[in-house]
Amino acid sequence: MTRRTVEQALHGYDHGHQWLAGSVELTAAEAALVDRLTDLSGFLPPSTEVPSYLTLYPCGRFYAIARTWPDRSGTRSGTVLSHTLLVSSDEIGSIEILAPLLALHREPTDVKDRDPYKHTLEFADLAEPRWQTEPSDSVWEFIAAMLLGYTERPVVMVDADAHEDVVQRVWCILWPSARARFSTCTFALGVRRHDRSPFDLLFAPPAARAAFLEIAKTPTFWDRLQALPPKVPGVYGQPWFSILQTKGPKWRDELLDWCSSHSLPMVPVGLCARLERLRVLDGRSSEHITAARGRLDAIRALWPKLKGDHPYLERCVTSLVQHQPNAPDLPTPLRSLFDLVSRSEVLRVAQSRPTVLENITRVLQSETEARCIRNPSLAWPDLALFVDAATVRTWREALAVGVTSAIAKAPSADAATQWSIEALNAAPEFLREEIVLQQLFTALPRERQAYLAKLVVISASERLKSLLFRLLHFAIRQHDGRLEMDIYTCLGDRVRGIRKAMARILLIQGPRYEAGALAEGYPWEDRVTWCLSSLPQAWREFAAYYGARWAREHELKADTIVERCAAVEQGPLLVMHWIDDQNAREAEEVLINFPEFTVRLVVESLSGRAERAHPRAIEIAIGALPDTSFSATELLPALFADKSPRVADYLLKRFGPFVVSEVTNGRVPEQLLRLFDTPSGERWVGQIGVDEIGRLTDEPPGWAALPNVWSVFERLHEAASPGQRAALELILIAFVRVANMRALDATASAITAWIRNRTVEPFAERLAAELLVAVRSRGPSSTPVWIEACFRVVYPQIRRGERNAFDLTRWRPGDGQWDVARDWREWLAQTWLRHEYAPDGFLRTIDGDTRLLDEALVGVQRSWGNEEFVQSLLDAAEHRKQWRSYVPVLERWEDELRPWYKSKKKRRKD
Amino acid sequence: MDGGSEMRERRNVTVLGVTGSGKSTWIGALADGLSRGAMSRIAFDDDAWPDDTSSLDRVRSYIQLGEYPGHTSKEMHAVVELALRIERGVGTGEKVRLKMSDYDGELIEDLFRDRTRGWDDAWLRRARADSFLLFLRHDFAKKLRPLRRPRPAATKTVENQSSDPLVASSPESLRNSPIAERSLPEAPPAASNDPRYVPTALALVELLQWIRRERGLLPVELTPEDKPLRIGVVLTAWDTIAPEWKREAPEKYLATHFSIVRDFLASNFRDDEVRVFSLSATGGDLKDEGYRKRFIEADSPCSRVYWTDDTQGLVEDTDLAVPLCWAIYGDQGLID
Repeated sequence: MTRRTVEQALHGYDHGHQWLAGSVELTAAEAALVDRLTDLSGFLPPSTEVPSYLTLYPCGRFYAIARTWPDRSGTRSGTVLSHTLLVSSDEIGSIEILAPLLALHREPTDVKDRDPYKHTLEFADLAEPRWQTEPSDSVWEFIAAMLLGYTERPVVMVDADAHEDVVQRVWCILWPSARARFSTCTFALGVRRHDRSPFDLLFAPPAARAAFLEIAKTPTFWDRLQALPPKVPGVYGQPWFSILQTKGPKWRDELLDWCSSHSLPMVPVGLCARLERLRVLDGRSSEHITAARGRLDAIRALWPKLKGDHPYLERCVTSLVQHQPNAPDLPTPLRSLFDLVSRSEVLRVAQSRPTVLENITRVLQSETEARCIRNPSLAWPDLALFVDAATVRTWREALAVGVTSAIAKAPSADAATQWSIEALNAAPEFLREEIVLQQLFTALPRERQAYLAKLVVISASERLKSLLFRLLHFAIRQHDGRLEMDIYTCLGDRVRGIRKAMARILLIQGPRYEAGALAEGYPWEDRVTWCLSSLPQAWREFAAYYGARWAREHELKADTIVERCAAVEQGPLLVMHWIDDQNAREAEEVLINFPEFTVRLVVESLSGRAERAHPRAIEIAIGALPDTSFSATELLPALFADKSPRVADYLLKRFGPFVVSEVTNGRVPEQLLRLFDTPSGERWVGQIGVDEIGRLTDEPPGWAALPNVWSVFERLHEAASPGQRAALELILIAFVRVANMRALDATASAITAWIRNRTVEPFAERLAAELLVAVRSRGPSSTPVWIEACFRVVYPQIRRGERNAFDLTRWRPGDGQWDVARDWREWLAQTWLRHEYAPDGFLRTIDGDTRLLDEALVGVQRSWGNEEFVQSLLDAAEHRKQWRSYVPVLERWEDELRPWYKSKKKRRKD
Repeated sequence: MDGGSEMRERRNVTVLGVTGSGKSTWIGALADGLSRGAMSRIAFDDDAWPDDTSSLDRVRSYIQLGEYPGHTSKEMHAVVELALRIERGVGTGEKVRLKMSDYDGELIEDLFRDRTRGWDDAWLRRARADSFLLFLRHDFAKKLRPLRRPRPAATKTVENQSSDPLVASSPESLRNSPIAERSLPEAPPAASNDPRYVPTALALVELLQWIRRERGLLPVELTPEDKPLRIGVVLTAWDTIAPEWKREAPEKYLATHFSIVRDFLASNFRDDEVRVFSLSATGGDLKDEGYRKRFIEADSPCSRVYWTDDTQGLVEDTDLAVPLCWAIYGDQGLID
């Protein structure tokens, strides 16, 4: 029996719950904790009687053992008085029995009863605990099972009887350090905490059940009133519980001794059951590998931070390593080794003890080899996991050596082809690159393809991809396009594989037929897909050629080909190749159904990108273009770019007549006129257009089209560009040439007026000449109008011998008639004489040229009625001042033409 | 105890008060009145009735039985959240969500003792409220202790006391005021072994100072007029007040008995930001068995709330939600 001292404090409600009296000065933190934990622990439901209850908890330098009573003398309800015994935390562990301490509690009469609590107390400690082996009720079983077998806190018991007996019983089986940390309250109205940690053990009244709602579903909560069993397995079947019941504190001492003998710290209270299990396993681990594993599992749970150089841990790890040769191949051969290398305790010991590390390395190598040979099909799948788990470099090397050795000893030389996908996935880590390369390159192409083809069916893992990329670099260095293609196929991108392989061949300037042959090892669908994919310029023609060829070989329908090609950039080129060898009619029919694509095709051909011309395809495509497509936005810019003159010529040949027919109708899209600004347009105007238009206008509608053509010309000519103007002029000339009398009559006034205003313009001169020819050949009723406007424009040129106008207008004088000027002036005079047109018009046509007048009249010298004609001219000239200069000439001609019987005087008299 | 009411449109009201100031009683009576539909200004929002009403039942359980709520312990964390609808006044029809948590009033005194590091997250949340209700029980405040013996009783009579609250509130006038001396029994001189008390007025002023600091307000700095920081002072247990104060303005009582609080409020807040209410949550002493029986059986509310209107006339109402409505809507909330 030992005499001990203990400090004390009294708390109660006096303008708030607070410290009332005490024998010791507490620190602020201690005082705050005691203040809080001496008060009620939560909401006190109405009509709930507060019993006297215990609260035990560590409190700074002290261990507090408080008893609380309701303050019946208080002014407010819900107030309490608490007497707290403060035992030094150094001494509390050695106090085996609580009863002497609990006997020191004294209930104050009221809040003013403070003096007895102001001095230190003494008590006699009973050294030997009295362990009651009987009885064992359900409350004790639940609490013992939870406190010693579970680490979750708090353990909550609702409506338990004999709380304080249970607390004292628990106290008996706790060891000193555990006692110093133990906390409990026998009347908890909520989850109590100290230092943010929940209490270990709480007893709650039924009325406070709702305050534990949050933890009511945990296994450590048991509401006995609800008549439900606790949510934990019974402790009766547990060997440790039987020992506890039988031995009580002695069992605790055995655990302490065991830990002490192994230089291990005692575990937390909740792990005692686990510690007992470790003691049991310790005896069996030399016989069974499962026991050795279980022992390490228990160590991890009990002492997770145990250092690697701890002798007991080293012994446990060594034992497990020694058991490896005896480990069964279940569930898979490498699983046991995987378990070994993945244990953190094993790693810690290996890092601390070089001998253990070497031992593990040796076992890993020999066991890996043996198990891979013994059961390769089951061993390979675990390799990847195995490599991941082996974090030590020497272990990975040991695994690599073991696996390599197993492969070397494999029955077949072509071991790689027998490997599973998983083995190959794991290969880069420990099979070494050169082994895989060797396997791949020594294999025949077909075998290699079969080997890699196995990988196609699965998506390659990241690690396998790593290997494949290394192989890819090797293939690139070796310029092995086939291998490169195979690898890309493995990587799940077959089209890219083809593209890469093709690019490789192009890079090394290899023959293209080789590339084609290379690609033919792949499904034709993939090949066509590659041909239609986005390709570098250098490969477009080639791919289009092969694409068309493969499409034809597999008898793809025309609609299908064009439909697929319509969706991609490369499509037009491929179709051009396809049309080159296709029936023209079939090709045209399908292109007519895809007008937009056909436009693209023509645009593509106009771009000049194609390496070779496809004249047949272009001609067919242009033929398939609808008239309206000529105004498509893509077509005209391409045409203006004029990169492919031949195609442009084709196109204008196709659409030129369309333009002309539009003009004959009096309407023409202004944007179409822009065509004539292009070199192709100019070419068309200069070389082709005349004949083309000529052919078109040589029909009755064209003969009468001059008024419409003139309206278009008049509207657009002024604002047109030189190229457009040239085209319009050409068209106008063409229609002038074929214009009939009605057409000439209809346009006479308009055109002659236009010519009169532009006599200095070359085209006006040319037009006048053309019109003069047309009028001379057609003889319309409007002839004097035309002659009056055109002759004076044209004749000076004729006189000067500038015959260009006539050359251009295809006018040929009659045979032997080489003096063109004479021919025309005599025609002029004859026409006037014959048709008896008004003399004023003739004189206006002469336009002051007396020489012309004189020479023109030569043409009527022998004509009937010439005298009257000259007489009428003379009369007209005498009445116009501006024509007086004609009078002498006319008088002379009058004299010459007068018959002998008519004198001058007589005529005048007449 | 404390209440923080989270209103829609981000409105919050925090209830402040030391131990025994009547916070739990007011919350309990408010919850009980709401449950019985006895409130005229606010009612439960039936569209948002809480699934779990256990917390509501807990806070009103004592009042329902005609008992005062017990002392709130430090480990008690009762939180009640109510969806309410304003029934009268400027906010009629508006729906608000009231969240109140009951806390131990001694925490405020603890905060005063440990004012440099005692503020936890819960207090930081409370400090961010839009307005505050400061509860004071007229006879429950711990007084400042003089360091010397009290002087002999003054000879002045009640009739000579100045009726001017401003005069009464000045420290000099308060010291010489016979009413003040009669109403406030002189505390005994402090002794070294006495329990350590914190004067209530100092604790509350310190708390208000800390709240202002947390909100970035310098001493005597006023809030913007469009963002008022309302402080409603609620003098509780008004049924037990001395008869001469029954018909007096609550402001006058505050100026007389808690002059330091009143001076602090007058110096740091605008006039429209401060209003004083006097209130009796139960209308009488529930410890009186006769009254308790009448209280339980009463059909109409027994509670009383008093405040002064613009004409300095005393207004009486039975609706305990009056301080809450003022805290939310200001003076507009007092107009029916």
